[in-house]
Amino acid sequence: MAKPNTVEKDRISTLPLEIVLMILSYLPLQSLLHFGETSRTNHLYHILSLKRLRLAVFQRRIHSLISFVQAGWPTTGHYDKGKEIIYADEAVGYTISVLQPQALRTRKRKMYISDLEDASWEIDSFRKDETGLPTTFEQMVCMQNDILSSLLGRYGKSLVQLEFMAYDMDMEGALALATNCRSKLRHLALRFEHPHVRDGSMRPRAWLQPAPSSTCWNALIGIGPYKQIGLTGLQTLILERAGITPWQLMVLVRNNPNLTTLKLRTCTGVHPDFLSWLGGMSNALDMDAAGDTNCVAPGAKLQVLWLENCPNVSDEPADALEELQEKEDPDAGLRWVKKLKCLKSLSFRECMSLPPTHVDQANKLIWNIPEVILPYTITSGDQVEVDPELA
Amino acid sequence: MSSGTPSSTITLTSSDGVDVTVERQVAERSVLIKNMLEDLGDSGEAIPVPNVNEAVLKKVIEWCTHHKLDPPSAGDDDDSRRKTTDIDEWDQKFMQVDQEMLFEIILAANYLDIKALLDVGCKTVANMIKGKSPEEIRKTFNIQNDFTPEEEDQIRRENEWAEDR
Repeated sequence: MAKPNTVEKDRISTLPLEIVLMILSYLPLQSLLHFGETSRTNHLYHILSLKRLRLAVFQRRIHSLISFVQAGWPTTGHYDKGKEIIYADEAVGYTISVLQPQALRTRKRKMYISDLEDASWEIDSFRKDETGLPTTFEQMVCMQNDILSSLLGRYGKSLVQLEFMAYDMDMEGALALATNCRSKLRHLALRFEHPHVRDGSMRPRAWLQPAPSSTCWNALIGIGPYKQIGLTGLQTLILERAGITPWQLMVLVRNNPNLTTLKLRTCTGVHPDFLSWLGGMSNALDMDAAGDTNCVAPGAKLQVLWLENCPNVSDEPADALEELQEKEDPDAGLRWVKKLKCLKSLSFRECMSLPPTHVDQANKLIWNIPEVILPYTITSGDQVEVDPELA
Repeated sequence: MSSGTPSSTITLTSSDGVDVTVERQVAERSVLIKNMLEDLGDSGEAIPVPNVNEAVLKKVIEWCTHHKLDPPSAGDDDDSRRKTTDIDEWDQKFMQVDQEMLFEIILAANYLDIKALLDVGCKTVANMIKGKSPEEIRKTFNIQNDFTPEEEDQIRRENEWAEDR
């Protein structure tokens, strides 16, 4: 180590900004915050340095950890130092058994924050005011969004990647996102889950429905009273259990023309109207668009499109689709797909209304997308595989 | 002298006008010098390094000599770089210099485009910040606290969530 206390002037302030940011990029979150407390300039530097943030706010440590695992985030002690995990594509090799039950024993309400560099960060913000514990779902959502909002108030303008895990979005969180992150944010993941999915006596499956729709999404897309704000620079958008409507989702995608990855799980917005619009087949949703539907499809730039656990992918019922397939109409109900010319990965995982053979046939005969994830495994005797060479 | 195969040594002139002879392979750890040699050809003339003085240049050459057989860095961009601050033992010893020299080495590595040395320098500074309180960081780097007491108090309160372990 270099010897401290041997210099008279502040050498860090003489370094070019890019070198300061390089130094700060090696710091764990707490040290970064301490550095930001040293002077005004360094406060600004520490804000500029925070480009990627993953934030999970839950009542119990175990909930956060399970969510981390589900999202493929690295968990404490299982952090792969060799590579940076930006987005989880599949449930990776982390097992729930690594999550220590100690947190359950203490029964202390804590929140967890995690940045990309640290495995996880524990917040015990209730320590000072035990009476202020959120008891209802609404209070909890309010508190989750409050924390998101305060962090975005400070770091929103420098963030390029944000993942937020909570129970739901409310207007405060949406406004904070839409005003602070506008065009700079490139990658956004909002993963919401039902509060009873871990705690309740019901089977988790019962809660795998989209959240109720909400006007808070209007802030995110910058319409109505929020015209001057909204997200416009996204390249990646991941929504899980979001109550966004087909129309709100359409505007959000339309406002972000550089979007190449769209992953939607358990979202109300995944509806035939939205998908037809995405494939340039119909302008029923988009009243502002010109009448012709022959131009480039709004979703033509998409390389990754995952629609998972969404019951409304096609307006044709499953048996009708099977019938149409027999009548040699392989992409019936899914004609919009072929207009998405850049697709490299398409998933219909757990979209139970789609017969997997229908999707598989359509890809073989028409789409030729390198990776197609079927709604569920084909169990019949004939082996069906998607050939990656077909690309 | 300038014709035929490239000579195995080249001469660098430091900012204070001192000529330093160095093995070509060693000097080529610097992308700047490597590109210069490729562009200008091997004229045999001394290459000026106007931003780096003799002491720092010699220190940089010492590092490059030790690392001359290292594979070239993969050129990872910022996003894929892993944020470990582990430094190998030799480099740690090499970086046991006063702060002025440490920062000069960082600036020279940046100017000469020696990514691996720049990384080691930055990691060394990061390790000097790690685990310290704001006041300790100020002392270490002689940072002037220009916050008002109210501002400082407010920032400390805003950061409280991260203090609880």
